[in-house]
Parts: sequence; structure tokens; C-alpha cells
Amino acid sequence: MRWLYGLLPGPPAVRVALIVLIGLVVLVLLGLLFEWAGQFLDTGGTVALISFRT
Amino acid sequence: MVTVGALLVAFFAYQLVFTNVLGARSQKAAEPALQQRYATIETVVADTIPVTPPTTVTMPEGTSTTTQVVEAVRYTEPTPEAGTPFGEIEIPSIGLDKVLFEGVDVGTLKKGPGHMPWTPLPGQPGNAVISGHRTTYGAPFFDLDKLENGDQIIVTTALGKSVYEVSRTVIVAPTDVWVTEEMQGAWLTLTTCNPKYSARERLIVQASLVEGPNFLYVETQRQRGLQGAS
Repeated sequence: MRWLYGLLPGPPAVRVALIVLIGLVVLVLLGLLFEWAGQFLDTGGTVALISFRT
Repeated sequence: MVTVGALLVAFFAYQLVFTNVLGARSQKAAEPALQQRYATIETVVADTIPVTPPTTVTMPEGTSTTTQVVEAVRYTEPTPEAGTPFGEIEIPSIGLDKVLFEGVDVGTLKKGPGHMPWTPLPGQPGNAVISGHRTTYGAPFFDLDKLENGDQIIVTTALGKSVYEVSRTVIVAPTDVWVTEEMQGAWLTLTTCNPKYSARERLIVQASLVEGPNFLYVETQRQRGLQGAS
């Protein structure tokens, strides 16, 4: 976190705001990644001609 | 290494804890809409067929009258809107009791077991198909592999209660759509991922109607089919 704070430009308030923004983006990306990877655990069990993992 | 470990822990926590919290919340939130459907939906007589010979039916407990039935009636209910709750599924032998939703798209199955819209509604003649998550989003079908032939599956819709009895369990590929095909009689097909924590295969449980508002109609139709064949 300190490393990232040091890399960011601008006054402290801007840096903190940027860190919060980056954190939110990372959380959203992680959520999307987990949802995608979750398809390997459980798709919902439906059957279809075109199916995930086939 | 630490980052990869933390990501894996976060992933499993998300899938096996967080999604189950979301699933439970969706189930609870669906109750008022379901009760409203039960209260407002009117069932319709879709078809009648003569019962030959006329059958005597004893009325439910508390009344001593018997009625001679000369016509078997098929009742229907309006098709639910996509993504909305329309019934409940209970499987006493594995302690399952969930609200059913219309549709098998990703978003709907996150709320609970979903009915395939291109198959008949539960309680109707044909093959009604319901899919559900095995390990995530409330894991409604977690213990589906523990069902044995003869176990009861009770589906309640605006029509009333339809009771099915399990008659076979098979494991198929995710693309084996034949399990959803039309069948003689009235069937309920449950589909879920198999094995647990994998989407490699599908566990299929098929059960036949043994009691319900349309049972006499289905049975009469079956007997007529047998007579026609002989």
C-alpha cells in the first residue's frame, strides 16, 4: 500500500482517492474473475447443446 | 506464493460462503411474490377426457362422501414471467425446501432452482425439467445423489401440490439434452452438476407423478394409450 502510495502523483488527498478507486476496480475485477472461475465448480446444473466445460 | 494462496482462499470463500448468503437472501426475498401469485392466479381447465369406467374417488379426510368421477380434468396455470418465483420444491428425505423460479439463465439460477421454460410446468403432463446449483448459490441440490427410488418430491404451484416418486438416477454429459425430451405420463426431471465441486457431468433424477390435481388425467390418458396400443 505504501509502495503504491509512493508511486501515485499529486497531493495526499488525491493519492488516497486514487488508492480507493484502484481498490474498487480491483474488487470488481476479482468479482468477475471469481464468477468466471466459479463456472468450473458449478454452472447451475442445466443441460444444453452448447455447454460450459465441453 | 502468498498472493496466490490469498486469492485461492478468497475465491473459495466467495463461492462457498458469499454466494450461499446471496442465495439464501434471494429465497427469502421471493416469498412475498410467491404468496401473491398463489393468491391471485386462477387455474384454468385446459382439457377433459372421459374416465371409462367411471371411477369412485374418496374425498379427503374429514368428509365421508365419495364421488363418482366420469371426467378427468387437466388444470393449467398461466406461465410465470422469466425470473419470477412460481412454486416450491420439497424433498423430505434430504431436507430440501426451496422456492422455484422460472428460467435457467445464470441470473435466475443464482436465486434458486429454475424451471426450463420450454418444458411443461411441474404438475402438468410431459417432462418438467428443473435445474439447480450443487455447491454454490444456496446449493439447493447438494444432496441430490442421496435420493433413492421411491423417495418423494413435492412440488407446490398455484395448482396445488403434485407429488412425484423418484424412479431413476443417471449421470450424463452436460450436452445430453435428451433428458429434457417429452415423455409419456407426467415426469419431473431434476438436473445438477456432478460430481460435487465440478461441472464436468450432470446428475439427473427423474420422478413420476403419483398424486396431484392432474394425476387422474395423466393416469386416464396412460390407460387410454395402453388400450389403444393393444
